[in-house]
Amino acid sequence: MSRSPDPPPQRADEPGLPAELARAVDGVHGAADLDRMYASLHAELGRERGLRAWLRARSTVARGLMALGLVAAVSALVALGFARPDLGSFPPARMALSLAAMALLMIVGVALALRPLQRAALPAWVGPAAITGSLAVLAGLYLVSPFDLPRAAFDAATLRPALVCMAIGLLLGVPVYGALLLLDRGGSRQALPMAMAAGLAANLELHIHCPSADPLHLMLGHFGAAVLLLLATALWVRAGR
Amino acid sequence: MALDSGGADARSDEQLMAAYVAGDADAFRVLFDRYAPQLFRLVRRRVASDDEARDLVQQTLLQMHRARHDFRTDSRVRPWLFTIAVNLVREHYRKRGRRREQALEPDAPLPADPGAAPDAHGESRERAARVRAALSQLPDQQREVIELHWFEHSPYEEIATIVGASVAAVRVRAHRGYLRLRELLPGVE
Repeated sequence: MSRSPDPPPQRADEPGLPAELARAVDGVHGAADLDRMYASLHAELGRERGLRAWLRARSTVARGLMALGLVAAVSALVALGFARPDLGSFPPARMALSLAAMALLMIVGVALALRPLQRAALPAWVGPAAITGSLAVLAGLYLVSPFDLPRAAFDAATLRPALVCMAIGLLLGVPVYGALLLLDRGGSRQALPMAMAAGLAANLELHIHCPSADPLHLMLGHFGAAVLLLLATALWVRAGR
Repeated sequence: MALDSGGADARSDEQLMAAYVAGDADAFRVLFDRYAPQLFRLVRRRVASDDEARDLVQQTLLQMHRARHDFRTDSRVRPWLFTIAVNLVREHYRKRGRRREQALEPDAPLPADPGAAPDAHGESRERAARVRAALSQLPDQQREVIELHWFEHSPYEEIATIVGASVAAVRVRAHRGYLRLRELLPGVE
């Protein structure tokens, strides 16, 4: 157990520099003005009311489960009411692999998005690697079709249903992004992992619903929804700087 | 409430945090009184003004409030708070688009010490400026470790938790950082 402010004893073999030098650096700064700070903080704590404050004060595990619970609920709704008609003929192992991969990557996205500030920051490459990796896995799943299909033409007959799926994907992904925003505690918003999680949730739900196995349709409509969410988020973050 | 011989709250930081999570608002004030000065010093060394430092310290304690239900019986308050503060300072600079934390603003005048020699303030301020300039030349990872170890007397195990590295890596960063500081600050020992 700790009780500030006693410093721990220094070991004889640990390097260091004269303590008075450290005190000299701190001595030139202004006062903390603790009373004013506390008054301001107390006022801010008083404003921590309502649904948003309640949500972001839940534990990190609870927040993660809420986000995943939302996706699970929507996925169940899609499966019960709007499931793809070819489920009986679609290779079950391939379906399981696709859904499991999307779900796992989405969980990674949620974990990155909701990572609390009291945990040490991850190396800078982890976020971009997770996003790139998830896009690569999605592309791999879509480009390698389980069926031997003739190549679809890039025409209106292909584009129209792909755009419909993209629109549905955005409609499914945006609420997930919104839920993650509500659950976010602020301080260090992980906008791109949120978009990654939302895009993967959308692809998971689309995969349960859409009967197309054509790589062009899947890349344009489903993968495209995930990419659009990421791009829109990146532009929004850049504009906000 | 248990008081020590000086009349201060004798509860440990972890007992106070547990009390706060359970709804004891006074426990938060005690934690604030214990840690706000340390957090202010920690953050002030890395930002350009007292106002920025106060804002970041407030954000640190606000984040502690929001994260209170994450606090477990084996958690420790000090590394918790220091990790939040370090992450917020990094985010502060990330939003400003600056990779390296820039030199601080010109020194505020030191309070007069009637017993000191006439040029003591100038000398102290000059030494402080040299130390800060030397610190700003360290790579961020080494600087973070040095500041936590040298200024805050944090043990390497605690620093490792705060910065998210192994204890061995923290020791290496400290060793290299101190070596470099000695080169930049000749005659300091």
